[in-house]
Amino acid sequence: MRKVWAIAKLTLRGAMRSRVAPLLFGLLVAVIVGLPLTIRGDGTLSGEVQILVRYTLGLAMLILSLAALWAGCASVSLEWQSKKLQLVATKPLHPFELWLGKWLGLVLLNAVLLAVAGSVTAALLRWRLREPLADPARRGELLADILVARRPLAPEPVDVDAAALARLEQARGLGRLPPDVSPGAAFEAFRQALRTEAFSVAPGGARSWRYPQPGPLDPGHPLSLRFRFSCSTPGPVRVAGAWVVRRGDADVRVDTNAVATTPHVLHVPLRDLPQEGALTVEYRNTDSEAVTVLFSPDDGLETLARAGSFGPNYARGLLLLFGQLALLAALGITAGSLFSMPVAAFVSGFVLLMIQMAGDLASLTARPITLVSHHGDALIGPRAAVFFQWVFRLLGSVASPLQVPDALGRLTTGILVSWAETGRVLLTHGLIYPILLAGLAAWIMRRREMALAG
Amino acid sequence: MKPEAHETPPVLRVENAGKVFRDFWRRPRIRAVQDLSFEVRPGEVFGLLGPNGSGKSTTLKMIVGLLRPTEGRLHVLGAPPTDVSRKARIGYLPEDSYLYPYLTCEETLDFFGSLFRLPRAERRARTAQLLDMIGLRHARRRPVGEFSKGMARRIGLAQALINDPDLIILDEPTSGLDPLGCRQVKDLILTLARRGKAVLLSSHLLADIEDVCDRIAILFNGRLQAIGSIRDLLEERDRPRVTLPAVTPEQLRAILAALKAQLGREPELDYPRRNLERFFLETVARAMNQDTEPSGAAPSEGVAPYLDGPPHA
Ligand SMILES: Nc1ncnc2c1ncn2[C@@H]1O[C@H](COP(=O)(O)OP(=O)(O)OP(=O)(O)O)[C@@H](O)[C@H]1O
Ligand SMILES: [Mg+2]
Repeated sequence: MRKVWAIAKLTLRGAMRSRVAPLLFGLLVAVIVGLPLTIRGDGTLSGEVQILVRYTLGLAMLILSLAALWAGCASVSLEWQSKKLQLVATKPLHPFELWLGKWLGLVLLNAVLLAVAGSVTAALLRWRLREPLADPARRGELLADILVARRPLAPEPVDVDAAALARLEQARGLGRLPPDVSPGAAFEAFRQALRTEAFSVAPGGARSWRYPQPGPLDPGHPLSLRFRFSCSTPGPVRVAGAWVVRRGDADVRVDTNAVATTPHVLHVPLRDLPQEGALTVEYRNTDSEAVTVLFSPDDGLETLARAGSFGPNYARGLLLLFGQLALLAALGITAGSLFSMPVAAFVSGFVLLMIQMAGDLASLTARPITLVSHHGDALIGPRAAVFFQWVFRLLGSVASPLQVPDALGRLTTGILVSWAETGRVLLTHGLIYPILLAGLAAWIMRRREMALAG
Repeated sequence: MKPEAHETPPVLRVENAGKVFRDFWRRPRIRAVQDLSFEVRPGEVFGLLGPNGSGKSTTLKMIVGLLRPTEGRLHVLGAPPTDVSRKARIGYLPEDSYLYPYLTCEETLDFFGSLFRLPRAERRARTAQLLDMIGLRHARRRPVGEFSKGMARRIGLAQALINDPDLIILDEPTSGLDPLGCRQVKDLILTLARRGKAVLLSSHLLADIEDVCDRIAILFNGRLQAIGSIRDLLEERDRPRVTLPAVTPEQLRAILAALKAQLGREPELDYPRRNLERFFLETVARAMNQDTEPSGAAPSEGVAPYLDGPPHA
């Protein structure tokens, strides 16, 4: 450990004395203080908060990410190219210890810089919310809807597959399926149509969403309903309706007269509802005109329960970002141990892109890969198709544990970043993957002749 | 040469070692070392001599594990050169002092000391002693990046000794050093050898090699051309030299006459000169007594005490 710490200290000294760290520090503070002054928001207090957290902290994070990756690549490969590692390699130091020391140094540096960025942002936020600057009513709204940690309730899944299959069979039986549409495509189309139907409310009708296990709900805080709808009359018209939240045999009704297509938040007090049982949220279309209300199947309605205050959530969000930086540094150091400088930067950037695309890769691997020319001929044979499917599946399974919740997005919409998610990210990004990367780097470095030029 | 040296097992054994540098496509490009064999024992100073590009540095790098031999075998302290644990007993001064320019003199030695897991107090003590020895105590807070070539070389030498190694490998230890520094390094090498350390050094400064080495090997084009003890290689047994104490001209005339009578011909007569090294050292020593604040290397305080303890068992 003394050896690892010696390398870490060396790395930190290098960062400080080559003026990289002070420069980054200055840049971060300049961005965080300067950006909110130059971006013109929508003039609202919540808009300002969004700019501060999402864009300012987001830009700071981008700077830190690039710095972590670049510094990681440079820390080994440049020292190797300038032969400094030749002398270090003749000391009783295992390559694993060298890697660990470099990583520890960079991680500490990133932790400090991220903490600075986080605290400056938090201080600005606090200052902006002070009484004379912020209108108390707006401030209250902000505290209820954005500067809070809320947990989205998981609705009962809507299963439309059986119904879609039935419709497909019916259409087939009636001979109404066009010959050039494949059964798969037709099934998908029916599914989409049914899903849309499941989120629409006819004039005078009602639609309800059930939450079988809403988890603990704090009766002292209201339930938030975030919703957005479009309607059969085009444009931003007002539509009268009512939301009814039911639990056990009690319910709370809130009437609304909301404008279509814009997002809304409604706070429903939970005081008078029982503490047990499934929760149902119902929308009643009470408009006097005959309009149909359509909620988007994906994000038309979110039911959120308060799970904590903003401060701890913000801290967890920063931890999540920190985990990502730790992985970037690890990726950089390993790339830098395998390749010389520009190649290392390119390779690690490529790997990062693959991780970002892991979701797409996973969906690609469901069936063998097919590449079709625009004449409809297959460009690769069936064996190659299966081969690529496996390659993508492998890449997908390596990269998918690295998918991370969008911390800044959540912080600006008042959504909870849970300890479980934070812990998982710290475990994968801050421990497991770095150790794997360190092992890879050490294995290669042991096999390398250090005195050969890059 | 120490008589007991032959009885102890060698610290370093090189057996038919060879190194071929290959290009990117693994085609052999340069044959830097061929069929090289030698041994170094405790207490011995072994010199590698040869013109530029003859394979000296390559040989030393194979010994410290920076390069892998393509032929033959090396045993360093009884293990292959890549063995990490043996490296704790080796000190290496590379051909160029590859130091971290942003570290100060003191931090550099402390850093390398930590790589040997020396406790902090021990690192402090050794660093202070080494800085006195290399005459850079007054510059201990300066970053080594701004050091002159010779000053950096001195730090390089100090880092090679921070772990009190049993096998010391020095690639051109005197390059860039002033005559005073050279003399100190040579004295240091002799002190280390007296304590039972094995020293392997390379140089093309023949005078240096001659002053300190017990045995030498001469390389040319990667091949061993000659190997043996300095005395065996250089001594001309058929031309003895007699050194006289101070004599009067009459005594000298009488001695020469006696010699001529004995040999049947006139013997050669010349007077030894002080060599330039000694003259330089004396001049500088005089100047040092007058000047107080050095900007370069200061006079050495002698070999670091921890390196000059009782000889090893
Ligand atoms: N990394 C390398 N790649 C390719 N060739 C190399 C490499 N290192 C050394 N060589 C070659 O090996 C040969 C021996 O080089 P080496 O550095 O051992 O010589 P040297 O005896 O130390 O010379 P000098 O007195 O100049 O220090 C040279 O021809 C050199 O060009
Ligand atoms: Mg050399």
